[in-house]
Amino acid sequence: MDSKIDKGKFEPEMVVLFCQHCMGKDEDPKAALNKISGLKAEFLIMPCSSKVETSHMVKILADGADGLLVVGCKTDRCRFLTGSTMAEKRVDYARGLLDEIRMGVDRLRMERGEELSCLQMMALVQSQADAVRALGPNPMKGAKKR
Amino acid sequence: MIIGEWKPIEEIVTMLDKHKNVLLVGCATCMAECSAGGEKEVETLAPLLRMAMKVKGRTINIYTKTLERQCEWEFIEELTPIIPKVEAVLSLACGIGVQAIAERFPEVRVYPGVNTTSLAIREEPGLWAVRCEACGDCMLAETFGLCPIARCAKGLLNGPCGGTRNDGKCEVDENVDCVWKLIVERASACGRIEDLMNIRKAKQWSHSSHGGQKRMLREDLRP
Repeated sequence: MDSKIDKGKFEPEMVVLFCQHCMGKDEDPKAALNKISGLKAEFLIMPCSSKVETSHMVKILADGADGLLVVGCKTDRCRFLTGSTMAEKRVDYARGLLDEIRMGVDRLRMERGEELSCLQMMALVQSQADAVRALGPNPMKGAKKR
Repeated sequence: MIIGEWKPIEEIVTMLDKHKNVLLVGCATCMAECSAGGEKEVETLAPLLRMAMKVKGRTINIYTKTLERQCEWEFIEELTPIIPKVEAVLSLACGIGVQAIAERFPEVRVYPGVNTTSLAIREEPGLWAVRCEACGDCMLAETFGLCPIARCAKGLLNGPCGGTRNDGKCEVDENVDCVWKLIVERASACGRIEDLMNIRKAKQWSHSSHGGQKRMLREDLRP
């Protein structure tokens, strides 16, 4: 990783995969993002967080995203009963792979939420961005135009 | 099915150290079933290796392809147009597939991405257990369809041993049922417990994996 880059000023490019059911009705994270300066994030909605596969997470990071946040429903609120639990297991597995290749496990994290407002979602993203900032830019940046 | 698991990424990265163009090949049969080498695993390992190389300051171009089976010549032919573009192949097949590709394409280095471990069944999602040791002298008829060679820690032909736990688990591994307890239960269920009173004689081990390469010949199938 380039040690010359000032990690404190670096603004991570985040990808957020979130279950459609964990956000409140009529909440639009993409619109809310425009009101927050400095936070770069791409939001991708899923029918259930369990749709995320290990290959998706690894590919997103290999394509240059600095950090990836998966947001699922709370354990007892998943419409597919074990969907968010399965997602969490896959995230843990993928984090193990990132650790094995020394990419930094904190580039990937899972959070849970229920009826999240845009403000709450942005707080989760900001928190993950802070963790990623400490790691510096993804060395794969520019590998593929996303 | 044949089961296996990924080699450590570090080991794979070291194998591919000197190569810039690599073909990562999956196998959609056994290795897909045990989640070690199917299309999903290929599409996970390829970006992972790109990142692992980049972290080490290197770049690698990885082509991907998943064959229906790597242990059949007809399927392997699908690699023919890609081979000239690469210096190496990383195979996620069992050892049979790796060797088949190496034999068909001697002009490139072929590396195993998987450690092949055994012949197993998926007992439940995410859990595979050995069922067969390919010993070449099957005795499942005498043991009511349960293999003591593969499933008894001591490979006893006449069991159980004295180490079975009170809960019916093996003394070697508390998570594994004593297969001889299961054999007795199944014999009882069939009303044939007396069959187990026959002493099973020493096995014919010359058909097992020891003593050199085994070959099977069927003249009626040969051209």
